[in-house]
Amino acid sequence: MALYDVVCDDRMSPLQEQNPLSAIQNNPEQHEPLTPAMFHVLLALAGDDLHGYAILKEVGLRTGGKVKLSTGTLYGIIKRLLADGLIVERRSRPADANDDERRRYYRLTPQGREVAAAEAERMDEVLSIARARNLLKKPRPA
Amino acid sequence: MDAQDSRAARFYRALLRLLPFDFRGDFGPEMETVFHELRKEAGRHG
Repeated sequence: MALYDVVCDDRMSPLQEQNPLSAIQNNPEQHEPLTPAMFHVLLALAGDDLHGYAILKEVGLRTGGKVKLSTGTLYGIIKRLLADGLIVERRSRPADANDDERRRYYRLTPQGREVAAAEAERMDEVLSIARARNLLKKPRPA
Repeated sequence: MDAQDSRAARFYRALLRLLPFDFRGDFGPEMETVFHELRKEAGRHG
């Protein structure tokens, strides 16, 4: 998929360069921990570019219905992730999109992928400790 | 059912007016489409 069809690209604007937060954003491990809901949204977008309703469905499906995001929660998260540069809105719609034109499609940025990966690593470390303390009932999948 | 749908849509639109202006401007229309999708899905599942 071409990069030109996103609203923003990964180049830093002069305004971003002056923002002290951008230094943290450039180092995914220094990004503040994500909330579980934010992490689920990033995980959903790690698979494909999705619109809001599809994100809700994907999160519900992947968690067996255990995580249900409300519309308000979802768009609060989307606003935050857009502001942090972890996702962008796609400028173009998928070729096979035959749906409501008010729908907007979101895409994970390379920075968003790095932050999600750093979060997964953090969680893996915590799980390793839990496993060492025999707190996990299920064996580790191969 | 249509009247109910329309009432629900009006009620949801009224709720959206409680959101901050910028947020509503950015996401309000899309939130409405998601609300309609969820309503349709709930209708399908009874």
